[in-house]
Amino acid sequence: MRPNTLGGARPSVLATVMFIGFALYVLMPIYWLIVNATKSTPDLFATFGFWFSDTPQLIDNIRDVLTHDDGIFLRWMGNTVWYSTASAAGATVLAFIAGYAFAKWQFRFKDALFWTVLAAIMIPGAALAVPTFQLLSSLDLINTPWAIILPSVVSPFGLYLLRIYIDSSVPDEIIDAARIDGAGEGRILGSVVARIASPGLATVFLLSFVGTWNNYLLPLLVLTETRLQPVTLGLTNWNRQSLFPTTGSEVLYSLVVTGSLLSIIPLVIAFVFMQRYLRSGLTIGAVR
Amino acid sequence: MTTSATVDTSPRPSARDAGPDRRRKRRAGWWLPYVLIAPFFTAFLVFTVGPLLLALYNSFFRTRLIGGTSFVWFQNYADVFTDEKFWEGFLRILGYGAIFTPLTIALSLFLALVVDAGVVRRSGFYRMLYFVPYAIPAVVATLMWGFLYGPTISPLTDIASAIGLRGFNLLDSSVVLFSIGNIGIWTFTGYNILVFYAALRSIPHEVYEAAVLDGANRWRIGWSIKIPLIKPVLTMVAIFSIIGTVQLFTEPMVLQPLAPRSLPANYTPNMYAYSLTATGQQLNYVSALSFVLGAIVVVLSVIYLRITNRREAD
Repeated sequence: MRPNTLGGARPSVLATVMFIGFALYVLMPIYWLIVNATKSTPDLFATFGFWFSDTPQLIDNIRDVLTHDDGIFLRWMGNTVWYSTASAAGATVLAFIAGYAFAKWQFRFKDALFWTVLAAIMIPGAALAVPTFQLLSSLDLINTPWAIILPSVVSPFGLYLLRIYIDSSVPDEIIDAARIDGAGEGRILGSVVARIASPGLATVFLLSFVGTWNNYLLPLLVLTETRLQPVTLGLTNWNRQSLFPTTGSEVLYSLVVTGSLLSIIPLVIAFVFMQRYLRSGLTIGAVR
Repeated sequence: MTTSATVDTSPRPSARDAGPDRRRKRRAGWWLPYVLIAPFFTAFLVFTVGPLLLALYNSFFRTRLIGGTSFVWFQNYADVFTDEKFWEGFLRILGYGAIFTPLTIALSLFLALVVDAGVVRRSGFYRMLYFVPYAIPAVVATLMWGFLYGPTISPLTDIASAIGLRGFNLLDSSVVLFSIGNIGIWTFTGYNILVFYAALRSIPHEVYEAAVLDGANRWRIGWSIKIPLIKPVLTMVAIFSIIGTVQLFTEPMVLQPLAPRSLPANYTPNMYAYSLTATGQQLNYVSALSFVLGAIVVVLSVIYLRITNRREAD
C-alpha cells in the first residue's frame, strides 16, 4: 500500500512521538482496567492504580463475576449477544432487499421514499427513545426482548449505504446474465447480489450490531427486569450498588472492574478481525 | 398485508410510468420492488414514524390527577419553551458541542492527514489501535474513565496529591463537562480517522501531482487540496457529531452516581427527559420535549449545511 506521499516521505520523529503519545492515551484506561481486574476490592483502594498489587487474583475475580447472583453476568452477556445479533441480522436483511430495489428497479414514489429515509437518518435516536417507549408500552412489549430488537431493525443509514454499494458494485449485466440462466429473483438476490455486496452487508451488520450493543437509554426505559437486561445495564447496576451499598450488601467494586473487562473482550476481538470489511464499506458510504 | 397496502397506492403498473427503462422488460412483475421494500418500510412506519406520530398526538394532551386527560393545544410546548431546567441543559450541550465537535474533528483530521502523508511508520498498527475504543460500549468506557476520574481509587488523584495538587477532582462541577468531552474524544477519534483516511485515500494522485511539482509543501497540499476534496465527508461527520452531541446521555448518566452534585438530573436535555419519564407522571410533557429536541437537531444540521454551502459559494 503506497501512501499518498510526496516523493519519498521520510518518517518524521515529531509525528512518530505524537502517534506514540496518542496511543498511550488510548491505552491508558484499558491498561488500568486490566491491572485492576487482578485486584481484590481492598487492594483497589490501597494500592497504586497503574501497577499490580502483591497478591494478584484475576482468576478469583473472574470466578466471582461469573458466579455472582447465580451467574447473572453470563445471562446478561447472552442477552446482549442475542439482542445485538438479532437486531443486526434483521437490519441487514431489511436494508439489503430494500437497497437492492432502490439500486436496480424503477418504481413509483422511489425518490420521495428515499428522501424520507435520508431525512430519518437525521432524527436523533435518543429523542425517539421516550416516544418509542410509549409505543412499546401500548403494544405491551415492555420487558420482552422484542422491545429492544424490533425498533433496532430499522436502519435508514444501512439502506442508504447498501443502495449506494449495490449501485456501484453490482453491474446490471451480471443480474441480466443470471436471469437468462433461469435464476429467479430470490436466487439472484440471495446468491449473486449478496455475494458481491458482502463487504457492504458486513458493514451494515457491524454498525447495527454495535448500535444495539451500545444502546443504553432504550433498554433502561424498556427492560426493568434484571434477568432480561443487557450487560451494560447490569454493570451500571453493580456500579450503583457498590457506590451506595445498602446495609448488608456486598461491596461489588472488583466485580464491576473485572466484569467490564470481560464484557469488552468479545467485541474488541470481533472488531479487530472485521475492521477490513468496515473500512471498505465506510469508504463507499463516505465518498459517495 | 403490508404488501397489498403498498401496492394499493399505485393503481396502475408502475413500470409504465418509469419511462423508457429497459428494466421494464424484465421477466419479474412490476410489483416486485414493492415487495422488496415492504418489510423495511413496514418496520420504518411502525418504529420510526409510529413513535413520532404517537408523541405528536400525546404532546397535545395533559393528564391531571383530578379531571383526567384533556386536550390542551400547544400548552405543553409553551411550557417547554419556558422550562428553565430544559434550557439550562440545552445551553450546556450547546457549549459542549461548540468546544468538542470542532476539537474532535480537527484532531482526527490532522492525524488522518499525517497518516496519509506517509511520515509515520507502521501507521496501520496505530490506526487499528486508535480504533479499539470504538468497540468499547460507552457505558464501559464511562465506567473505566469514571474510575480514573473519581477521587477515591484513581491513580491520577494519587499522582496529583504526590506532586502537591490538593483538592484535585475531575468530577467537580467546574470541570466535569471536559471530563465527559474527553470520553467522547477517546471514543470517536479513531473512528473518525478511519473515515477521513478512507476518503483521503480515494483522492487520485494526479490531482496534486502538479502541486508537488510546483514545490508546494505537505501542509499546503493538505490544507488547500486534500481538505477541500473531502469536504462532503467532513460535512457528514460534522452532522453526525451534532446529532450525537444533542443526544448526550450515557456518559453523564453513568457518571452521575459518582458525582450527583456535579451532575443534576437535568444535566443534559436527554437526562431530563429520562428523569421525567422514569418518574412516570409527565409522559405528555416529555413527548413535547422530545419533539422540540428533535426539531432543534434538524434545525442545527440545516444551519450547518447552509453555512458550509455559503462558504463554498464565496
